[in-house]
Amino acid sequence: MFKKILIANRGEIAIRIMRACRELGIKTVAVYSEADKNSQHVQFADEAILLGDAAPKDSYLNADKLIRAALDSKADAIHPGYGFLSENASFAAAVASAHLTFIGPSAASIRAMGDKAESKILMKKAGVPTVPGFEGLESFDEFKKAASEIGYPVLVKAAAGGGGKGMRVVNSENELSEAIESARREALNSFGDERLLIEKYLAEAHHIEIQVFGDKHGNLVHLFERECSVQRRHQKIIEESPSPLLTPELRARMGEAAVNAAKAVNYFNAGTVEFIFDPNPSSSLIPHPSSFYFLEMNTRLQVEHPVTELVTGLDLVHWQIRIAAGEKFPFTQDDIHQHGHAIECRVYAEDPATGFLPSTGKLLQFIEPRGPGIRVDSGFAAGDDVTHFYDPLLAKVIVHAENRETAIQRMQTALQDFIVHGVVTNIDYMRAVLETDDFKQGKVSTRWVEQNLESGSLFPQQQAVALHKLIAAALADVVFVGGKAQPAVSNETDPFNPWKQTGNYRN
Amino acid sequence: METLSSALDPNSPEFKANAEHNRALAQELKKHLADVREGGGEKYSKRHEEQGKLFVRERIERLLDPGAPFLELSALAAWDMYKGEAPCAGIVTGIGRIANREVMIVANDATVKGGSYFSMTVKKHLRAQQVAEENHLPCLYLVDSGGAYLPLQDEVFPDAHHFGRIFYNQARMSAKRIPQIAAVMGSCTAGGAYVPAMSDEAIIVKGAGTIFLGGPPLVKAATGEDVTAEELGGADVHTRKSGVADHFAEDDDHAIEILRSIVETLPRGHVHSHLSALDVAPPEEPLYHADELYGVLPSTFKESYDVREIIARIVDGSKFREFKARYGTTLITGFARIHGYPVGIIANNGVLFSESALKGTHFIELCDQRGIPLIFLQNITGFMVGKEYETGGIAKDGAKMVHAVATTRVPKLTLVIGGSFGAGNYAMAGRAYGSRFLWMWPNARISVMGGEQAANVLLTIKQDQLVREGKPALSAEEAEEFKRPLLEKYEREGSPYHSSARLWDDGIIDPADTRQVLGLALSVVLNAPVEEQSFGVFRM
Amino acid sequence: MKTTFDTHTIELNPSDDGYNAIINGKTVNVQIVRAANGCMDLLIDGQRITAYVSSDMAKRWVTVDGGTSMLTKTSGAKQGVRHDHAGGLIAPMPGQIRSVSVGVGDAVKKGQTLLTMEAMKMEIRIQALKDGVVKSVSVAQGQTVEREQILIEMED
Repeated sequence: MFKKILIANRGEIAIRIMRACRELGIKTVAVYSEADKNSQHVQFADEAILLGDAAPKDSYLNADKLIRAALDSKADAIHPGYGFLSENASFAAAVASAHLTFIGPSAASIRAMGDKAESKILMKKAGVPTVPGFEGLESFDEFKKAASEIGYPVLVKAAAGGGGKGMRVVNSENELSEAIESARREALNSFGDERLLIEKYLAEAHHIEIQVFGDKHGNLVHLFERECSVQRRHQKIIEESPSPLLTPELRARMGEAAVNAAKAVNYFNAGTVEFIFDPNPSSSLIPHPSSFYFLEMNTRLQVEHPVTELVTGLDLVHWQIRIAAGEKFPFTQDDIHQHGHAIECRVYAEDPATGFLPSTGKLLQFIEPRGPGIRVDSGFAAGDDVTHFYDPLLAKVIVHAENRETAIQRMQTALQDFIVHGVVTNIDYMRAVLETDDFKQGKVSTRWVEQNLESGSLFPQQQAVALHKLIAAALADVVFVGGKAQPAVSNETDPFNPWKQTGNYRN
Repeated sequence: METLSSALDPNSPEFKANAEHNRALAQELKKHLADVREGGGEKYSKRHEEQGKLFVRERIERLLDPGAPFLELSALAAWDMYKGEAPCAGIVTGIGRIANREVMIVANDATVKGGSYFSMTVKKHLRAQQVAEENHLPCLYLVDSGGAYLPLQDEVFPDAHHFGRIFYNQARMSAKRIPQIAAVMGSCTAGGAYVPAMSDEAIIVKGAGTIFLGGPPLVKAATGEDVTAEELGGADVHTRKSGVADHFAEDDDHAIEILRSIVETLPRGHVHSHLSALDVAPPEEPLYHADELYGVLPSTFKESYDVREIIARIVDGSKFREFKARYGTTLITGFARIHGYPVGIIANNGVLFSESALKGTHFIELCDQRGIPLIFLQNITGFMVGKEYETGGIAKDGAKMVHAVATTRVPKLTLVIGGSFGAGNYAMAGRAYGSRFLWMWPNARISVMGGEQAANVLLTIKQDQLVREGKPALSAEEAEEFKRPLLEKYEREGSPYHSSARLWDDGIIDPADTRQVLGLALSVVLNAPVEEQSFGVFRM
Repeated sequence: MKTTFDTHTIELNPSDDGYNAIINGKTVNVQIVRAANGCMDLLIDGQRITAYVSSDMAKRWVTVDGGTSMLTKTSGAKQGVRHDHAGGLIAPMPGQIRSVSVGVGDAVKKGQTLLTMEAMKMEIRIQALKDGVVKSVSVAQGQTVEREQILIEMED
């Protein structure tokens, strides 16, 4: 087993990993940038090494500095967390060539799954369903043939595209010609490249992913699914397990597909196979009878891994470390079961009212919820600065309950008890999402936030500032005079001053 | 620190009788205070209201931080004077908290003779300025006054401590960086015009506020010019043209908002600069309830009691570290805390002897050296008289204490809790000795000596005179007849109301409020720095 | 004491057992049950409320019932008097009227430009200080005006 691990990350995930190390009796080394020198993860570690300036390229993305820090501190392994260098095959290879252990899959697995086109071909070969579609088409007849093969509605989009430019949804054959013409024009104007591709359009697609786990001895299992359809700007904010949409049969099929996908790249350690899930598979025609399609594989620990931990009872980070150290994974697929229901909400420092733009500032209050079945993975405390340099994730609230309904109620209460002052957060927004019928009925697709944002129906109630808040705000100036409430005058030499009493004394 | 324990039984008949007596005195005080706070009566109040103006006490309430204390000074000024026509002397003064800072407020009550200045009005205004200056409190003047009360001009205009002194004080304080801010919320005529003019910043209220040296009637008489008050010195003129005022307010509320915002942005200055040297502790309530003070105080001065029973009901946790407990036992000295602030307490526990005076002197020196504020609990019939004591040099020992009291650099607070007679008044920091504040309890008496003693002295002199002239001495009956007017005069003039009316004190307070008032005052006095001293402690 | 947050003004006055808070003419009774470390337990008209409040300069963060708002304390003081004299808009300096964009009887909005004048080679816009109706226009384009000459009179 390792004696010392360097955690090449920051924030909540660094602390999460360090906590696991502590439990396993392993020393921890934190790395940090100038901007993070007072951060919680630095405090939490046994040692801490300054990498450099705040910019990620000078710190958390700087492979050379990270490896040098690991060697200097005599660490024997590096855990990359998620984000930053966690899916960088060259980094994984460089770590190995420095005679250190990379806690994650092999560089080859990362590289194979890193190339989206290549991985899609690999998956097709392995029999994993992929989104039906065709490339390299030119004549209208070719498109027509392809479209009818895929089944309407289809999506025509620029091969070089992005950002919705040159993209058309086609619901029936008689719309196809015009859609191709206009998409071509737009593609040419936007990208200078008029090539188009065509694929299945899934109007109500959900994002469902399967956690896989394997050791270096060829054992590979899946740890069931996570439903992650509540997304904004293509980033998840609420995840849960089990998915309200899956039948046991579907779950087993998706699990099997995920294991096959992982096996195709000789995968070990923790990974996640992401699928697009079509809740109305009747619209999918032969020869693609599937209701789920491979999207991509994340070759690392996921942000939302606690959801899986709570329903399976396994500590994924413990096992990541043990597997990296060469241990055998002792469980077979039959040993692993789902218990109850877990939901995760990601608390971001961002403002839903401005299209989720990040919010920065000093955390004036940061009170995490607690109670039975509530877990908070957090990387911040009151007094910390939230800067613009990094991902604005403040904390993850994860609840576990016997069923979905209770879990939602528990999450509502937990979010209500989460007090964050100093930056705007998405807490109120997530509470509003949990409150909707769509969420309660499991109908939230990946486009749902976007659609509801446009209609504006979900903005936290900013119309009328509640009376109670105004009263409290006005009272605070009286009640907390000179106290912590007002840092500008807080050099308090006289904390017990009788003039600060508010008993309205008159002689 | 030792804890004082009470030897009194709150259920004893004496205690209950005392409580009843003293509670009645406190009730009487409350009633008188309520009466004078009514201002100038219904007719003038109605007129004031019709002008859209707030009453003086409404102005102050809105100016203060909500719920903040207001320590009013000399509420009973001019009590029973000027045929009762000047309640509160037509001016409200006191210390309040605005934007978390202690300030002095001086506010005219226009319902009392148009807010014009009687001699006691001037005295009260000057006293408020003195308190502000000594304690470095920003001064806020809410001006609504017609100036000097013309029928009594000789009592308010010419002397050193008359009207002109107000502006002298403003200039001197401003030079000492004690902010002077005026809000003109009514008339501000003649000499009064100098209040805003001499202020660092001035606000004037549209329609209500006017500033001019000579009002429209005077202008008419002097030059024949017809002009309205608003044209002559209204808010628009002064904020736009003359520059006499700086801020234009739509109404009283707006003026108060501006005033608050000015105070909010004042630099912190000396605020509690002295505090860092003092060790402030979390306050503790005394072990005994303040209401028991009513039962501790005897109903006559003839009965004695242990003043530690009073101290135990005032100081934090009833904790008192006594100094020289076994020496000069008629004067109690010791250290305690009130609202967490360290204090030195000097309290009478009988007539003063030489040793008592020496002990007091020594203790004042200790507090002076340590920068600890002094609290005098005054209940003194005087120094011991008689051949033995005169021979022992009691006058010289008393003088030492008077010296120490007069020259100590630490702030002094004086509370007259019983009698204040003769030279004892001087040694115990009477009005002439520059205490930052001096209050009286409703049971207090103040005069050069007790009425009985004075009458007897005068009777003895009279009898001696009759004997010298070969006339028969007065009979017992005649002697009583001779003494009665004197006794009545002393009784009347010794009353705390008589004292408070003439600004011989800063107010009569309910004994149950003592701890609160002292706590507020201690915070106030710590605003000003304590000067360095040049001598050590002399053992007496 | 009056405090203004954004566009809401609240007045707090001490009462026998706490405070009376006045908002939009409505008065509610407020008692402080407990207050420490940025958290207050209040009784508002008898209803128990826990409020978390933090201050950062003029900003106030308030959480009640899990809902968080950021309020900004504004001075609340009315705008100073500018180019205003007894309901009329006056010339701030001598100059020439360039354009007059309103006529008698026009309803105008606060901030609307009513006329422009040129003075000291600068263009000066005379704007309505509040919503109202133009009562009189005393100048015309091209006219030269003196300092403090009344240009336009308004009524509510």
